[in-house]
Amino acid sequence: MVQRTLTLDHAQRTTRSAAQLISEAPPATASAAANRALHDAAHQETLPGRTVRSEGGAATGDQQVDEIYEWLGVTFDFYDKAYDRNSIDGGGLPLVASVHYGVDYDNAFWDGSQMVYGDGDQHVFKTFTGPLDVTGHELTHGITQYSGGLDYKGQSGALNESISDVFGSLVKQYHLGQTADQADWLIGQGMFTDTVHGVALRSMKAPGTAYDDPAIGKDPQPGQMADYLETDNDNGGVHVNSGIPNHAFYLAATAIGGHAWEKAGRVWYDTLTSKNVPTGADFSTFANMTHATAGKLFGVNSTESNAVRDAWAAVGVKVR
Amino acid sequence: MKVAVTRSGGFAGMVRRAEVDSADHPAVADLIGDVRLDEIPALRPQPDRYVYDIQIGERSARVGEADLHGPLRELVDHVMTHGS
Repeated sequence: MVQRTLTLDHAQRTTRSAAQLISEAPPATASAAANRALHDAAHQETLPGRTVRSEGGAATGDQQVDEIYEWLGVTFDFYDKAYDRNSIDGGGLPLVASVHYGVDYDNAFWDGSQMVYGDGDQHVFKTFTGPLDVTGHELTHGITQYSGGLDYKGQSGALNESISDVFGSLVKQYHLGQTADQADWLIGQGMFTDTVHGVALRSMKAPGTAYDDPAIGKDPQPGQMADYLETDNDNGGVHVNSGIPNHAFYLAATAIGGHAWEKAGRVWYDTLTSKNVPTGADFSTFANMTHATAGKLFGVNSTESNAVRDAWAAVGVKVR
Repeated sequence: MKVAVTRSGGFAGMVRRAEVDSADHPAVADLIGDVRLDEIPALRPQPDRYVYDIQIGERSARVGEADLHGPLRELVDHVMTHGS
C-alpha cells in the first residue's frame, strides 16, 4: 500500500516535470509538496532529538522513522488532494516528528509545533507509529490549532478530539480507497499487543465496543448524549465523550455514502476551517454549524444537509 | 502515608491509578519532603498529553505531563512503577 502511493507520487512528479519541460512555462500554481523532518529522541524527552531523515532522504532502516515518514506524506497528500490544503498551517509548514520518545512511552501527541511518538510498553501497546490514523489524528490537532483552536476541556475538548479521530479515520480511508460502508471506522487498530482483548482504541461505528480486557478495562466511550460522562479525569473526559460526535460523523457519512472525505468530510473540514467555530464550542454549536455548512455546500434540505441533521439528532444533539 | 497517582488522558484516554504507603517505600518517604505541591503551575490542557492527579496524605494536586519535573516526576514514576 505504501509502495503503491510512493510509485504514484513518483509517476505524477515525473509527468509534471516532463510537461513543464515541453511547455517551457511555469505551472499556474506551484504544486504543494511535503517537507518532512524525522528525528530520533533516543528514549530521552528532549525534543526534537537527532535529525535522522529529511525530505527526499533514503529510508533509514529504523522502522518507526520510516513509517512516520510515509504516514506524514500520506496525510499531507490527503489534505492537499481532498481539501487543497498545503500542510498543517495551509502555508507549507514543515512536518516535524520525533520517534523513540521517552522510555516505554504509551503515547503520541502534537506539542503545538511537532508530532511526538513513544515506542509503547510492548505489554499493552506494541506501536504508535504503525497505524496511519494515529498520525492523521495528531497532525489534525495542528490543523485545529491553526484554525483558531478548540479549548481542550469538556465538550469543546471532546470536539477537538473527535475532529482528530474523524480526519485520522478519513486519511486511512483515503489511503485504502474505501467508501464509508467499507471502512472499519476504528481508531488505533493494530496498536494493542496480542494479549489485549480488543480490536482498537475507539470505534466511531460503535463507541464503547473497541476493547474489553481484564487488565485495561472496557472501552468507556458513549455514543449518545444521554450517556455523556461527567468526570474530572482527562480534562473532562475529552477522549471518552468524543465518542458522541464521532458517532454523529459516522452516521452522516454512511447515510450520504461514497467516499466519506468528499462530502461529510468536506462539511466538517469547511466548518472547522471557517474560523467561525468559537474556541469554547459545545456539541450543539458545532452540530448547528455543520448543518449550516452542509446547507451552503449542497443546498438547504438536500440529502447531505438532512443526513447531517439526522446524524446529530440520532446521538441526542438537536439541530435547530 | 498514602501516596496515590491517577494518570488520565493521552492518545488512548485510559485511566491508570496506583498507590503506595510511604512507610513501605523509603524512596517515596524521602521524595515527599522535596515535593512542593503548592508550587505546581495551573494545568494548561494540551492535546493528548497525560494529566496526573497526585495525592500525598491529605494534600492533592493536578499537574500536566509537561510540567512534571524533578522530585515530583520521580515520585510519580516510583508510585506508577511500584504501586498497586
